[in-house]
Amino acid sequence: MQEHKFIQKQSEKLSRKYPGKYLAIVGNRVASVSSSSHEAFKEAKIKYPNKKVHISYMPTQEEVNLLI
Amino acid sequence: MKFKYQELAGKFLPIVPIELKGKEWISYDAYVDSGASYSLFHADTAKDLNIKLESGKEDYISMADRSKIKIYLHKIKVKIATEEFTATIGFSTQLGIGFNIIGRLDIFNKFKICFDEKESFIEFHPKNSSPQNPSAAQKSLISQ
Repeated sequence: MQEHKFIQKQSEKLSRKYPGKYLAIVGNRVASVSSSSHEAFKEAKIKYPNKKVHISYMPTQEEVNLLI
Repeated sequence: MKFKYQELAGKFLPIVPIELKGKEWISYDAYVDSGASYSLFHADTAKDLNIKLESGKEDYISMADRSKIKIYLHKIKVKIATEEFTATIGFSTQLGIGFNIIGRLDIFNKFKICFDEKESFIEFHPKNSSPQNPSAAQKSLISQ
């Protein structure tokens, strides 16, 4: 939940910075960024093996337009 | 439990955290889509959870552009808002969009779900509690 709140607060900025990328969030920090959800998760677990990881996707403009 | 919409690429979207149980609990943001029959997650997610993708029940679903994609359905434990339960989740290598999706099957029957577009939030009320009288635990978990 802490991680989701972090994303909520930072989503606008992060989506501009990382369109089309998966972010692995640990606590209040971006632990890793990748085009692959699994790679983002693996990298975060290497850095923080005992921490809970939250995965969030930053869409491209095109994807967001498809959803609306 | 309320979740503010996330502002992504200039739009406000109903995205909520959902935890899936595999080898361990892992949390994902997912787009809530009342038009989707199934909850659909990327095959990569099955790797995270240490779930063998092809061991699930094979099915095909139609996408908005009328193309069909193959999915594998697995029954797994999930946590949304204050609730933990078993749900059918479809995993696919062919989603064609980066988001994971929360659809109706096994999930929308556990909650009253309110989309408030004007105020940009989505609210999940567990069906086993009164929205007018949330428990102290639920109140403490309101995410704004």
